[in-house]
Amino acid sequence: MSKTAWKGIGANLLKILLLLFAVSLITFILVELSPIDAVSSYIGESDVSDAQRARIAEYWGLNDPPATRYVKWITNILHGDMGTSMIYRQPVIKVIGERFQLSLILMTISWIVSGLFGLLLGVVAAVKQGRPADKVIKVYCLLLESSPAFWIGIVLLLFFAVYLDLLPMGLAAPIGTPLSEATMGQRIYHLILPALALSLTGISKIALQTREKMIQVLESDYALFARTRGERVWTIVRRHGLRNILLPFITLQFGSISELFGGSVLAESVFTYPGLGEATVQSGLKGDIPLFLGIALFSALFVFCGNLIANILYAVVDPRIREGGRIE
Amino acid sequence: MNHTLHKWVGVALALTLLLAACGGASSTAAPASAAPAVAASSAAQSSESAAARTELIAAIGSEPSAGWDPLTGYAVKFDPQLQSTLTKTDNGKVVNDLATDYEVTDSGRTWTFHIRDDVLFCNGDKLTASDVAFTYNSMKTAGTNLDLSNMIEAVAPDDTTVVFRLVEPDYTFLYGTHKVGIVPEKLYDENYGDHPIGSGPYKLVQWDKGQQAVWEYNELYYGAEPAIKRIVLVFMDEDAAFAAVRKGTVDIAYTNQSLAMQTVDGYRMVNVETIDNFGIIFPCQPDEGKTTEAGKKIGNNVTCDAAIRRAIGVGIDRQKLLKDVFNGYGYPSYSMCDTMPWFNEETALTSENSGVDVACKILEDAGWVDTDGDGIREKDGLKAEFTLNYTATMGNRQSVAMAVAEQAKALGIEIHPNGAANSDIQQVFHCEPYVFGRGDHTPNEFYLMTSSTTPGSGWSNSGYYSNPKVDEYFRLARECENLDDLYRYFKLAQWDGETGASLLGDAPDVWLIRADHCYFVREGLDIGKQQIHPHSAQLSVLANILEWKWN
Repeated sequence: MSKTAWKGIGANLLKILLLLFAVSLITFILVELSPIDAVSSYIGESDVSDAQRARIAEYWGLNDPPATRYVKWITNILHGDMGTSMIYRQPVIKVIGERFQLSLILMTISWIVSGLFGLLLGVVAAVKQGRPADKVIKVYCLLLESSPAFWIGIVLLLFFAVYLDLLPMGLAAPIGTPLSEATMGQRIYHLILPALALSLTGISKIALQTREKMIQVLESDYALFARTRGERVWTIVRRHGLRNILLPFITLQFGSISELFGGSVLAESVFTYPGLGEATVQSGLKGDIPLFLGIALFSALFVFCGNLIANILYAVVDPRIREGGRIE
Repeated sequence: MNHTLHKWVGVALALTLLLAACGGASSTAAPASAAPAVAASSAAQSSESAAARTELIAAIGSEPSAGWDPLTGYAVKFDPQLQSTLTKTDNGKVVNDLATDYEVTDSGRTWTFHIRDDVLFCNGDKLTASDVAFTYNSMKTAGTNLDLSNMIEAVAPDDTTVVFRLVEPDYTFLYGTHKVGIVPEKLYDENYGDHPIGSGPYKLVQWDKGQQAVWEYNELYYGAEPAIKRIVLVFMDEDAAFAAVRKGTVDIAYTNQSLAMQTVDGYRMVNVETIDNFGIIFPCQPDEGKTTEAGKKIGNNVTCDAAIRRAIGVGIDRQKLLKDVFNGYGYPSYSMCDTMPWFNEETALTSENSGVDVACKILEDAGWVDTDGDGIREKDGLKAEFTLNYTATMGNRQSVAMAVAEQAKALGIEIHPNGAANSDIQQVFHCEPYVFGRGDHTPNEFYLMTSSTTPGSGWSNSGYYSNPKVDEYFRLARECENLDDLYRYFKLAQWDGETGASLLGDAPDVWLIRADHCYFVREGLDIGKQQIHPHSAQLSVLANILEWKWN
């Protein structure tokens, strides 16, 4: 590979390391400052003597001063040991690994669906600007954008799972069937509603942005020129429009990865889908510091990779960037 | 050119995925077996003879996130079912389980238990006294909610004898023995929570974390054989569980008092009596500017007057509270130990010693009079008003706080309900009263809440209540050597004719109602006679699982 390529990789590695370090430090400080006391959250409302309380704190290594704990934790991570989760009593890596597999499927499907439909709706709205189709799509998107994800999830649940009895109401596999024995069909069947809920919230933003960009394209000089040549609108869209909105679209689409994490928390709660989002909520509420910090780092890494892929795709998609220049 | 191609390839891939999903939904093979699978199997089962139906799907509790391991906190408040305990509770009475008998010697410092010799773990290993000793010794250092600091150690001189040595004599130790599930010494390791081997009536055969767990009957169990041979525990919150009931996919679901009002075809609503008490914990010391070591303020000049506490205790209409907050699902409660063998029934209020008039008289006699006509009583210039905290996330506690505030107006007391997180409440609970929940099949709770030795230990006696007579009775109780004496002393601590920690005496805590635990149960499922449930429902409903059957 060329020297620039190596420099690029090196620069990115450095960026990742700096980012992760910053995330770890800030998250740790935030957790320290939060009023949630891990031991109290664990004990709940039981009657526990002070001696026992001290024992619990000792057990989890919570008696050291914060700086010591941070250094201990960071050094452990550099050795590959992310610590043990207090709630699940298992290595953090194992907890994240198990749960992320399920979240990954959910997030990937939602990501693709919201990107696809967002693009479709945005393009149609732009082409039919001002006409009924555009109005309908705009209203629809604004409605979705204003609705909280969990509310959409509950409405879907009530409608499809309870009233229509078409889809299952939760979990990742049928009740009584172990996840490992569930067929692919069953797993997809259980994924439909959570994926739908998660997708719906992402569609609107992409649709509206795509619509804006596409309108800009359709009002540009070259589009005008193409129209004077007799090209029909849809041909213009296909030949000129799509590739010109590709850059903003990629930015949006890969940027939405970070929102997927947040959205998956809500979708997973409503549908009792045991993914990473659920674990995040539990670890946050109960002050499970090792797990919480582990998830924070992991999601930071994930989002960073998403944006990195977007950067690489810019170069793939746009020859101007590939040649080392910037967009004028 | 290539970009367009790539794009269309991507679109095609995505479409295929979508089609697979939709196709999966409509194909007959897989998903037809999914949701209808449960319905089909239960339909198939109901078409078979009644005796053949042996499975159960239950949405009744939350998952033990740290695993099915007593040493990581599983089943501190209910029967583990996967493991055995030395004793069990029967509405507060102690019943032998693993233990065949016990004796207390050395002025209450040594407890000797003899255990059955026919107990096998579900993998065939014999359960011996050394497993019991191992479990208790490990529990002592395990960092869970179970406090064994009063136990020096447990030893097993032979296969069927376990000897516990205590630091201080404590007869309530007996009650601790129904909370410790016994784990096998030879097999125990840090993964026990995922693959627990126990000697209880059921064994864990499968656990999908965050979703469901499957229990199957342990054929080597030493007790009675249950009719239910397979239990699927589904972990859902109350709304999802209710939706599952509407769909008919679960056989029993725990629900809250509002959803319990609904009727669902094919299900009946079972409300179980509990000692899930709701009450108010009051600061009992005057405000003299003192603070704890951690800087928390101690004392409240209004609530330190027992007349205020007693007035609220006798003046609140509990039936009205029950109706308003819990839709009638529950019972009035006068202490945290109503219905238990150590409850002093004299302290239960009657129509003669309760009511708004009685309460007003108590206040007037103590000098609380409304001098300026604003509806709030004063004494020595101090108004009868205070803030009442409640856990903001618990709807029931909020409703109780508001209902009490409303009713207190008739007594001339002004209460300001305030929602806050538990950690915030803990910062001020020595100087501000709060709504709380409590209640278990052990007398130890009452001791912790009213003994002058316990303030500062978490939630115990946050009001710094101190009555030397009560402490004396507790001391006698811990040193006694049989259950009857234990109960007698505890009853005296509540009321001995002159003073006590109950509504007739100092009323440091005012307990108001015991909320029922409500379950939707499918028609045809007999859940036997339920014990009185403790404060947290969890899997308490399974305590009598050996009696459950399908009709």
